[in-house]
Amino acid sequence: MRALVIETFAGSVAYILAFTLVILVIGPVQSALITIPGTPDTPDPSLLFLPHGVRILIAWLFKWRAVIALLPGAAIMHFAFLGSAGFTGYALLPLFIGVTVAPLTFEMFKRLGWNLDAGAGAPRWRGVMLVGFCASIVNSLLTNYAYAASLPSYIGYLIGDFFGLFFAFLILLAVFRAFERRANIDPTGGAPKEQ
Amino acid sequence: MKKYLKLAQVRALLADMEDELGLSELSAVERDVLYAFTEAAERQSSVATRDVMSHPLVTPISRPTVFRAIDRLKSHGLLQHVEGRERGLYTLKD
Repeated sequence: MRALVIETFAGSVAYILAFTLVILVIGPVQSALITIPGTPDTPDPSLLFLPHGVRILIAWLFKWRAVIALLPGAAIMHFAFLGSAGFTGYALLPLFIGVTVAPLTFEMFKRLGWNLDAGAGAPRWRGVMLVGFCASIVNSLLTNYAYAASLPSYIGYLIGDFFGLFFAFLILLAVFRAFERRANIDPTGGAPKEQ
Repeated sequence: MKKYLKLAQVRALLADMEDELGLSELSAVERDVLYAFTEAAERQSSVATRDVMSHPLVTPISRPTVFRAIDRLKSHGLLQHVEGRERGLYTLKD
């Protein structure tokens, strides 16, 4: 139970942070540089949608528990965008699609004979990227169908999810490397040479 | 340590990405040894070198190469020797 609480806290906080970065930094920069044609009535899809990276990574780590881990964070962001109207009828659909598609795609790959879950053999980054891309296709089709979006929106979502996943990995790598370097500098952090 | 297992799994995935993209600071042997430690840490809090030696990814590698890889992983801050315990007993660092 304690593990589930920690997973949920970590997953939801990471999701909210990634979404906040998209809203406050990536979105304004993108709007200043690019206009996506054919989306006059809907906000432009982010072309660097980092929360997709969080969804895939959390699903890779926690499998179906990712649904619980991501739901509070996804619900908060859903509320931030749509208010209480977002929690009625079809408006709820994108929220549930967003948190279930990633673990569902990992499960589909597993049933097709390619288990890419964390702990199932040596990690395969390309495999996880492939799952992320497939999840993005399903997510884009279902979410845009729910919103009755245009073709450029579909394509924008796909691009945003793919690059969001890729850059989420790069950001995570930079964070790990920074911590690792700091650990090396700390004289109390290193173990004595021993074999 | 088991509580750091998920972090170690993420680091192993990122190490594979580094290798695929040519960004790697770890060699293929170091990655395999790190992964063997990660898997063993799922079963026990501290991992003995002999447990890693018997891992299928590590058995084809010579002992001196494995010990050099362990040294490199320690210098990368990924492994920590268990202080005051037997030789060759390590925990994964967060």
